[in-house]
Amino acid sequence: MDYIIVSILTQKNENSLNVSFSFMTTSSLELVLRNQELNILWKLTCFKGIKEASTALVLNSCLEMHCIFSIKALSLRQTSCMLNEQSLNQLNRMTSCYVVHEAPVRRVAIFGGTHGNELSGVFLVKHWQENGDEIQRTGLEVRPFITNPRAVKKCTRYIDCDLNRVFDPDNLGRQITEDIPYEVRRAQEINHVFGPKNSNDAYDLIFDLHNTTSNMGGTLILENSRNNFTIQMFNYIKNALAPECCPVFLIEHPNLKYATTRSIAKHPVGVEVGPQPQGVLRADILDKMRKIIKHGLDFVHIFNEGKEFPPCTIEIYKIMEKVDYPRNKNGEITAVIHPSLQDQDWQPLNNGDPIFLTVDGETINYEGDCTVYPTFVNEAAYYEKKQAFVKTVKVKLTAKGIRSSLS
Amino acid sequence: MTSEDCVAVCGGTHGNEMSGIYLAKHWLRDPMELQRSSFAVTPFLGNPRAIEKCVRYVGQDLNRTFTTEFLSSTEVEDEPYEVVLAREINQTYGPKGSAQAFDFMFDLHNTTASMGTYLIVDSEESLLPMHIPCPIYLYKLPGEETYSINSVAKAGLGREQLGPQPQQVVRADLFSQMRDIIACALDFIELFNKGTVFPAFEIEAYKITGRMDYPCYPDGEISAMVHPKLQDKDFLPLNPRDPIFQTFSGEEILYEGNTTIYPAFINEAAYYKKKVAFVKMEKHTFSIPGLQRD
Repeated sequence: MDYIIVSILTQKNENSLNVSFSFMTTSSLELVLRNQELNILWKLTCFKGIKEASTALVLNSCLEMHCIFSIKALSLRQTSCMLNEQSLNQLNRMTSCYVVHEAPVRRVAIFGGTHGNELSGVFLVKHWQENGDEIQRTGLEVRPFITNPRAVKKCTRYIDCDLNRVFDPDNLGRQITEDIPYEVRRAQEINHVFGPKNSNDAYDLIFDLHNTTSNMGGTLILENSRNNFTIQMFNYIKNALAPECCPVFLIEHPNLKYATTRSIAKHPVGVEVGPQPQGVLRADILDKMRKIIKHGLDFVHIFNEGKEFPPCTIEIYKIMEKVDYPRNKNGEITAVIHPSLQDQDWQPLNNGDPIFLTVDGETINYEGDCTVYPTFVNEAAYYEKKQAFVKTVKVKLTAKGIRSSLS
Repeated sequence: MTSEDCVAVCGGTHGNEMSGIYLAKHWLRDPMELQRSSFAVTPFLGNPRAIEKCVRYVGQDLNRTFTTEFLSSTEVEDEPYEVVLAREINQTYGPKGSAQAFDFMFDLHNTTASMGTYLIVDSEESLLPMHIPCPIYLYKLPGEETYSINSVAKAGLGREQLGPQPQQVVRADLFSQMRDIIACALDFIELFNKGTVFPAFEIEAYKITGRMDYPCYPDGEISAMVHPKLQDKDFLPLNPRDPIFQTFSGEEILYEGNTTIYPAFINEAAYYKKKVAFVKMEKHTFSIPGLQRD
């Protein structure tokens, strides 16, 4: 044998793979690394002895490389041969796992009126039901839909209970009786049409449109930190809207996550735009929501057409804890959101910063050992849910590269 | 004018307008800050059931129920809650139009429109309210009967309107402002009762002339939104051919009047039901005569 491969070590970085070889050779040889198209990526000439060498392979759009190492003797007798199969497979696995093949996204729904007094989604969906040109893309079915029509008619958040909290297995499987809350019955109907939740028949993607009285701008809500497709979409939308901010809010949490209407889809996307009072339709807020949907649909279309999206990292806000208003022993609220915190969603809140102001003029300060980023500050609908604001922390989330599996 | 002896302050005429509700609840627990030496101040909650449910009203708008028709109607079964309530309030703080009625009533409201702080007075002939140091707008259309809760009291309308604030939300800044304005108004009444002379002066105030409805589809749904250029521009001049609405397809609808007007209540949530997009006002300068206690 002319050579022995002692080891191949690989180390993944964000966009590259470091490969280190060590081998032993009894005669001069040339080590060449080629990709699938047989382009030379790296070449090493060496003489007999024990050799160690390493190179960093930059991974870009051509991520699935088959690396062919050929080792040629430099003498007249030229031979080329592959490395043993095992190490080659290992190398392949290291490179190809950067790209996840995802099923193309064919069935998309856009939900408005999950809360009947959050008007941007209600009016956008009604408009698209009359004239859906704007939301059509080739290769996709996009269905606009009003989820809580009775609440929309009364311009109220809900009739019996919050529709956006009842898509859990218990409520979805509940027996229908006379006195079942309207929203539970409705949830089962919606699950029947767009689900069933957790099955293969469920819709691929649902955009659920909401407004908030909080100053959250155009926030995207993420349910699952490992959903590469959704994270890639959010990255795309953020870039498309830049320099305008588009915060991403991750609601994954063992206790605080709630069973949303959109959760019946494989890829649930929450769109929360504010500030807008309940029962009010602001043109600027509607426009912001409209742009988010446009870019979201563009992303789906481009993805379906075969574009590969390399791994990406985005900054997100992860839910930590809800904070209630101070209350007296009768349960009545005794302080309001402090003027310094009002409208400061997504801004850093540090230990000692004011958060509440009592009627007597006393300030209550935040006590915590790390900086948090509050959101849903003074949301009207959350007074009854005992939530003055929600604490989040800033986290970086990485998505693997994705590509449609049919291309 | 005789001294003001009995003053009432009402919060929660609409159960989802929170500044007044929180203030009234606070004053009911602790009335000290309302007291003045020369008169008594009674705080109260206008519509308790609506407040409990945090809605504008339960059966009908309480603030439209103080007309002769409702107040003097005989009790029947199945009447709207607010009709019964209006009669009770009229008994306690009125009767409207009689000598026993309270002298003055402040009624505290919020709006989702960007109106800042305004005192609403029925007409420039209500002398005392016109003297209160606060921006004013005049609300009653000529020939209209008064229908709001504070018409129960003798001295015209006194309604604080603070915005923008969403329904069901309490903003600390507006809460403080409302509190300060009431304190200022009560101080004013105290000074008046003590014989202070308030000289004649000129004031610029807005007077209502009509309402502008939303364009609607045949089925009654609104077909356009308040234009972004008009949104939040309460009390700023609106000229002929300025954009007022934007359809969902992006077309602009322009103001077709002949003269400059001053819109208010632009995009008030409670007015969607009546399809009112904003209220039209004119700016006038009024000469207000001097004011002194008899």
